Amino acid sequence: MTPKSPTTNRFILLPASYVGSTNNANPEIKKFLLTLNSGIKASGKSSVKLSVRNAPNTKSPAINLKVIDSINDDGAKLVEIKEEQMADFRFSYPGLRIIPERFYRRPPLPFQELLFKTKKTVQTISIVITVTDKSNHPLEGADVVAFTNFGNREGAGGKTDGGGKIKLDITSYKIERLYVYPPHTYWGFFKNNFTINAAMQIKLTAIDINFQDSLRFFYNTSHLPTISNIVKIAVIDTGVGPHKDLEIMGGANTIEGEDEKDFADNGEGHGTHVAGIIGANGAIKGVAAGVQIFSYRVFPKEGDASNFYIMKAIKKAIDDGCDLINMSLGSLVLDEGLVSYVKDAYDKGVLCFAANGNDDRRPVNFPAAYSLCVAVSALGRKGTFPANTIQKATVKAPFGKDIKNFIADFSNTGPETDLTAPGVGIISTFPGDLYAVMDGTSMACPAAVGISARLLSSRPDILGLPRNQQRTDGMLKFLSVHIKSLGFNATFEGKGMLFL
Amino acid sequence: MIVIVKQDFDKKQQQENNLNQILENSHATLIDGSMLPDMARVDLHNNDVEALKTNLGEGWIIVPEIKYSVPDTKRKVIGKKLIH
Repeated sequence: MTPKSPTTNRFILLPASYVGSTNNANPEIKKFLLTLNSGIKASGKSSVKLSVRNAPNTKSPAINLKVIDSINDDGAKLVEIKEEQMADFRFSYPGLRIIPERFYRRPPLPFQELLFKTKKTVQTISIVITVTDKSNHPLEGADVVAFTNFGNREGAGGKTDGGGKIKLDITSYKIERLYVYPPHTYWGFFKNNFTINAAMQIKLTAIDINFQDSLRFFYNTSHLPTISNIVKIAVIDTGVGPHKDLEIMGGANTIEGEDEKDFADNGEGHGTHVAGIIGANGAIKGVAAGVQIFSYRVFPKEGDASNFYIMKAIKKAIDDGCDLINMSLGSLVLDEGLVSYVKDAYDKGVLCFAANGNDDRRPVNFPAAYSLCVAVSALGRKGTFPANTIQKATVKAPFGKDIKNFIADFSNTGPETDLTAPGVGIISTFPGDLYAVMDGTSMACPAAVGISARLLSSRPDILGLPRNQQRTDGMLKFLSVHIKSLGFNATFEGKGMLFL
Repeated sequence: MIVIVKQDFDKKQQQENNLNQILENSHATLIDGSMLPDMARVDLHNNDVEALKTNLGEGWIIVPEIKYSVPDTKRKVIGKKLIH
């Protein structure tokens, strides 16, 4: 098959703050924009070849940037750049907002949408699934989902009761996909294309915290030294802990009507899992054991987080002196409010990372899609999860140079992707001193944040800079020489994966 | 509807401008003022957004409240509901 030719897109380059350079801005940005401007003045259009900041002994072709138009000499530039080179550009020339060129049309005429509703009587059959551990002890609270037609998402699902049982009404004994998601302590279960009986027992495999999952395959956490220099990481999530493997240095609950000092996990476990990937330092180790974790709880129990809570959390993280912010959350909608706080963090020397989102290869979510935020996709590796677990169902092309590596089927992708990191079958901490396996760009994001923290901990000269845009630019430039491509297209892996 | 009223960081910072009075004049209710003078969470009727924008003047922007969910990779049934 002929490889797809690289797509060229038009973008607007703007300084991180304001629409032109200011006294607070990095002077290098002003110089860079003036350089781009010089060609336009001479010929109307300017093509520049820009060198790429890379890991030692790694070569990338120069970035071809065509400057089409300019507003001020040191202000906005309309440019053309290949999608393939976007991540290289962001890491090599940080401190710029990169906004896709958009075209506006007259509003379309209102129209009446017609809705057709059909009613169909379908014969159903009942099956009973029992979920147990290997010793036949029933497991309560596991989500069981049986699909008779996965493409249309048709089937039935529910939670197991105290006896580990769930009764499902389905239309056929032929099951296309069956998923079992335990809340913690066990690996999930997956089976496809089989005929089910009226009753089925599923025995789950308990988590062995010494198992080499994909995170520990790429980063041998149990052998990494504890970080001694101070690096502060904000986890904006469901709250963190308590867990015996985690020490939380501070934080806040930013949810309206809740106790500001209650920034422990709301019970869902997502934030505790994220924090463990970064900084667990006990029976299991995160990638950056020794960093200082700050928890900002923005998700009410079983509720959604207002962007106001998240904006407030970013503000508090900046005020608390955090260096990096982890946001394993996202929205398909452009959120001007949240984006303005990500920009404010950037201006104040704090680098934000966000998960690409888990919408099955749809466009990168906000705030990850915002150019001043590091966007992370999820990577998996065959052989780093037991057989018949739900991770098996996440395997999907493309595969990397090492064909055991793949970009997870759920991971969103696009030219905004900056990095990829392990996010399939990750073992980490769960409230109540438990452990859980989770998948998602939510897990990949803290892996990238933790490795960034570990790398930056060796550079007190960068962390010691005044808290302004130059500090954030410096972080990105330093990280850019610790990234290697795993052989995926840049829309899947960005510039690649951070290495130590 | 709930909106967030925030100072425009790209423009010169302004004083709080007696925000409470402005909200009252715009038929808006302050829900969360814990981040003032930077921003506030406010409830008002759709029809009053333009008036609030005018009353606030330069230096403030109004953005919609957007809700975020905890990201999840669990597969869910969304097909046709069966009618027994």
